[in-house]
Amino acid sequence: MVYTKKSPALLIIGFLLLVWGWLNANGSLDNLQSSLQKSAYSDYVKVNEKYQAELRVATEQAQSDGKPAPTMKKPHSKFDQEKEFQTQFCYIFGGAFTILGLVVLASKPKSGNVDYYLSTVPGMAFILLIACVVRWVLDPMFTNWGKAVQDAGTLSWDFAKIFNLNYVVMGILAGIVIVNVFKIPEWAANGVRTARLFLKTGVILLGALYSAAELAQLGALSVIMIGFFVLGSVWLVLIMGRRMKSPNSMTGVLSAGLGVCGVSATVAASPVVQAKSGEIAYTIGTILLWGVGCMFLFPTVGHILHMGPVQFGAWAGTGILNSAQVAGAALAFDPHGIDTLKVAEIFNITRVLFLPIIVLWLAAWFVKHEEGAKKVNLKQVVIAKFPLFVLGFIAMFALSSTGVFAPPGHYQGKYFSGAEVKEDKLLKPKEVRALEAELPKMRNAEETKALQDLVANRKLTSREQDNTLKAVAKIEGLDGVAAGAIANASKAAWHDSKIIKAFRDWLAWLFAFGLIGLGMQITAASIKQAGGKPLIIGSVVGTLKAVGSLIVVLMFVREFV
Amino acid sequence: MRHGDSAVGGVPVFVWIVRKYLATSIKLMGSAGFAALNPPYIKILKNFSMLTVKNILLAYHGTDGAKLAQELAFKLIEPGGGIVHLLVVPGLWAGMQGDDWLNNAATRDEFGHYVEDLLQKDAAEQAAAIAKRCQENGLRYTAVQRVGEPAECLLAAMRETTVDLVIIGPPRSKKISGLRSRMDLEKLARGLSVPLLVANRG
Repeated sequence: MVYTKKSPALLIIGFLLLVWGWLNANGSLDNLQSSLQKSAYSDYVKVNEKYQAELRVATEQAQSDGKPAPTMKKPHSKFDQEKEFQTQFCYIFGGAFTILGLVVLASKPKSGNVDYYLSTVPGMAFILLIACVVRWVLDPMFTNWGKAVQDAGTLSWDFAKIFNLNYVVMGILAGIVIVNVFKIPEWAANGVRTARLFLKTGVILLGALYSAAELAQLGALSVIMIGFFVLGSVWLVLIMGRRMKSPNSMTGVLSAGLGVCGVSATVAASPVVQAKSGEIAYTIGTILLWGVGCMFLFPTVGHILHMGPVQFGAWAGTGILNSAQVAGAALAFDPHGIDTLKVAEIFNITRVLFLPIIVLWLAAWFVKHEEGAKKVNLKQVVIAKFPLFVLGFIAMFALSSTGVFAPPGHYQGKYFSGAEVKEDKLLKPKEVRALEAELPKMRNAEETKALQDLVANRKLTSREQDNTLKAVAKIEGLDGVAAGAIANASKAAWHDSKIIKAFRDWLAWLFAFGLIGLGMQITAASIKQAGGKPLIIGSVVGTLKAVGSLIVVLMFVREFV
Repeated sequence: MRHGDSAVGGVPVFVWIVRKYLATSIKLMGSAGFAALNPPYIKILKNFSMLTVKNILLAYHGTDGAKLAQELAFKLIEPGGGIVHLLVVPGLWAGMQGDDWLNNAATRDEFGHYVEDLLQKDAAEQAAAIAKRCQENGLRYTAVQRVGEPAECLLAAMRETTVDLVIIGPPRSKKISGLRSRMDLEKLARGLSVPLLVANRG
């Protein structure tokens, strides 16, 4: 069978990306970009003004010294960086898609691996095009509108922020709209199916960004919370199903879906509990309905309750029935960082590790309660259901711990380095004098030593000193200039890790890509199947899980990582 | 065949017929009263006394509504006629793995095969039931199985076969549980080249 469809779509997508890149490169889109990327553009204006002023001073100085006018390199603003990124991105992917688009049109594909892999490219290009539109155009547009409406006094709140109208949510929505209103074009169908591969790749790569302490703390927290809520909801569904006299097969498949990881658990457990077709449809419909609803509701509630990344990640990771929407909600809550996603994905991984255990439990339960049920092979179930990508995640974590990708201190995105503090960031004499005057207020020898070193070096030299002086800055009655000097010294000693920042940005793209593709697999026809007893049981268990995990998170989980 | 005023052979029926296809192979005998419906090209045909059909396309998938359609088809078929049995596997099953992304390919394949087997088994049971009844009545039986949207499947089946009448069951009440996969009557009425009968729930 030949999978590649003869279509000019890939060529057109490639050409569109190339045009966008070219227009960015030659500045034709500067007006549009300045209205979209407002914050980056204001940085550009500041950098430009500073550069012009410095150039003027340097030129005047050179003229007075009788030297030729100096040449100064204009520093890159965030606006320049964004434009450069978009240009490079479009040239790389647009170029590749254009070439492959020509290959699709010109070649006569024969059945085989080349044909199969080539058939996936148009769909991937389709998702990437949507990702670019939502990330570069719709996301900043809604952000600006939200602020404009608030500034104009029409609303007292930022509607774009409260309703999470960011690139992740809009991308998933775009996917859902495309599949349900326009249908996935035939030429894109194979590529859209690769979305789950990209999500798994994202999780594997995410493994590189955890410290051992983070993994230990989040792992322990997730095992406790998932253990309690997964086992609790599986047990509750089994009880409710028996009370409501549901068939064992329906109760079994519903408990897996509502308890563990939604659709994935339903897919894994259905053959084991011999679920009937209607029961599978009801369960998946109910889970998708709840999952999509929660993906929009959770981030809004999280913002209203001022939750931090750990709290929200733990809540979403436990309370949302379907695992795909966990990642979606985490990115919707924190679209420009991945701290929440890191927490939520640990919970997702814990859930999927629970899956073989729950499937075995349900198999045993089904055999006990259903006459003629087939016994399952314990070893076969564990091997077949084990999520291999978790091994990839662990391997990435292990590799990154050896420092093979970046120094160990860099993985938080920022790293401490006193040696890299620039000359112009050293403390000013006024600040040094203010700090010297505060030396008598130090409470112990450690604080005195840390402050003396700061005065002597005009910069911080170690993380321990930074931690000690952070406590000093909070001493009551400390001079404001001295406290400000400590804050400035700390800020100067922490640097952005460029490698990790770029890695995080690419990860966010990977997850956005995967989630848009998964959005294209959420059909209204399957959601419409929600109904009957599964909807009643699902509503009770879904609500209890969401509200119960919220209470537990607010009471016991702190931003401690 | 014996027919009552508002029923066919004791089975109450609501007969919707597209006006432009009235002059077809259906033999209408006796009085026929028409009442206009919205949209205007659909009429209710009632009070007829006799109706016989040589080849019927029957949409049957085991639901209560489909059983009514089955009863109606066997009442209306001419002796020695033929029943084309359409079995539709709703297209919604294609999206039934939803956004599962955690499972490995083996688990997804196992699920796919499991669901396929279930649907195949259901279809085989339904086909066997209709085939047996056709055999008992000396009728020709043809099974047509399609995957997709019900109205599109029915129209395709009509084009592929030679039938004089299409019979379907009434839409299921929203209070009754079952797969949400409804026949688009508007699409059907616009695409059919033979009359359509919708069995009444009674």
